[in-house]
Amino acid sequence: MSHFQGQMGGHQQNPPMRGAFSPISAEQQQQFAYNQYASPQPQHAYPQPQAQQAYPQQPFVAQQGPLPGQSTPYGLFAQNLQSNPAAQMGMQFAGNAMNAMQENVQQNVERYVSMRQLKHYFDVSNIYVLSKLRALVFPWMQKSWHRYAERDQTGQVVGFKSPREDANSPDLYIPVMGLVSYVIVIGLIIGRLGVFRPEDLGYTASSALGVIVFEVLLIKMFCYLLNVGSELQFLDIVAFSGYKFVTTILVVLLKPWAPWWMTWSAFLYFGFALAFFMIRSLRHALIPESSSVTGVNVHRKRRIHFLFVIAMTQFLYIWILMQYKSSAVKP
Amino acid sequence: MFGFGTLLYVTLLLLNAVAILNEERFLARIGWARNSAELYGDTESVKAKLINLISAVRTLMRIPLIAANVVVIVYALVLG
Repeated sequence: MSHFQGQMGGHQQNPPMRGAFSPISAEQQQQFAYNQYASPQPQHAYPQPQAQQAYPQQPFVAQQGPLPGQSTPYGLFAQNLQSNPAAQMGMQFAGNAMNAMQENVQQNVERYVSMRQLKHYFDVSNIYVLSKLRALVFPWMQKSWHRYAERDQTGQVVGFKSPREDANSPDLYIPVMGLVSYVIVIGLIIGRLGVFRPEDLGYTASSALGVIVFEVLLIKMFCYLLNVGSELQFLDIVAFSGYKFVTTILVVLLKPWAPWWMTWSAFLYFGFALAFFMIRSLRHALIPESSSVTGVNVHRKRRIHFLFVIAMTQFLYIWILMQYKSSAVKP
Repeated sequence: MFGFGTLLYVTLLLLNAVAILNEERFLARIGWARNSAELYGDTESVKAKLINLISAVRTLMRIPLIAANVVVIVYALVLG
């Protein structure tokens, strides 16, 4: 390791190498010069070309030098790297290895979960969120429930428009936020009652996830039995199932502190609002207009019953979600 | 109360219940047999789909169910 000590004073003129990712600026040269007089380099800094675990942070962090208020142990590597061709090769190798690993992971994930489809469901805007929340709480104010179809260049229908362009399209942002908010709100309520334990958060989350999974599986099974095919996607079902958290939060906040009649009237109102929302939203998917029936057996009456059952079981699910329980024993 | 673990146990028990239905002693008696004549014409009715679903569950899930049951039994015995 003797060649390390010789580099202390010899490289002030060389600009710091930023891993070939971004241009250098004047202050970084100054910081690099400041780096020269830092404490001696740690000896494990020399990246072997064959080291699979080459520090991937080096190209991104090291050559900036320590900014005021920020301590980077990798800032000390700067002196070695630009003078050492093996080190440069090692860093390029590390960059390539990172890219290859990312692609590999993406391909594997793509097989189970379509990332493009997920992105479609998270493509929301503020206006969309507000109008959706208003539609959940005051569904009679919503003028039109029609979902716009996405067309490609030849005019063929390839799906539905994303939530950013269509206020009636289901999204996954509100359900995810609703789930997290529900867990936090239950934690808050239990805390205000004085019996909070940290594992209650886990129990609540598990319970909420259990309700969602149960409902999605049930709806999926009945969709299979009733020949509801591609007009109701799996992620659509998850999204519609997750909208109940919004109304549940509003009701469960009342439960510990309001008189019982207020809680139950809020439960009934929000339950009916959610049921109305579900019926109007799912009507296009489940019950086709008579003009568009092809050769498949539609079972129109059964589908209407199915839609009604979905809407009414929302009451049951909200009631289940309102039964929070703390794991602590009352003193 | 209604947690994810409970849901897993419940689905395991229900799948067990579906898997042990005997084809000839029970399903044929109540007309839900796999190879009965009514299925050839109409594969879209609810009854036909239900019969297909039950037979598919029984065919596919017998062996994984053995493994899942063993895991749950060991878990219940060892960890209570």
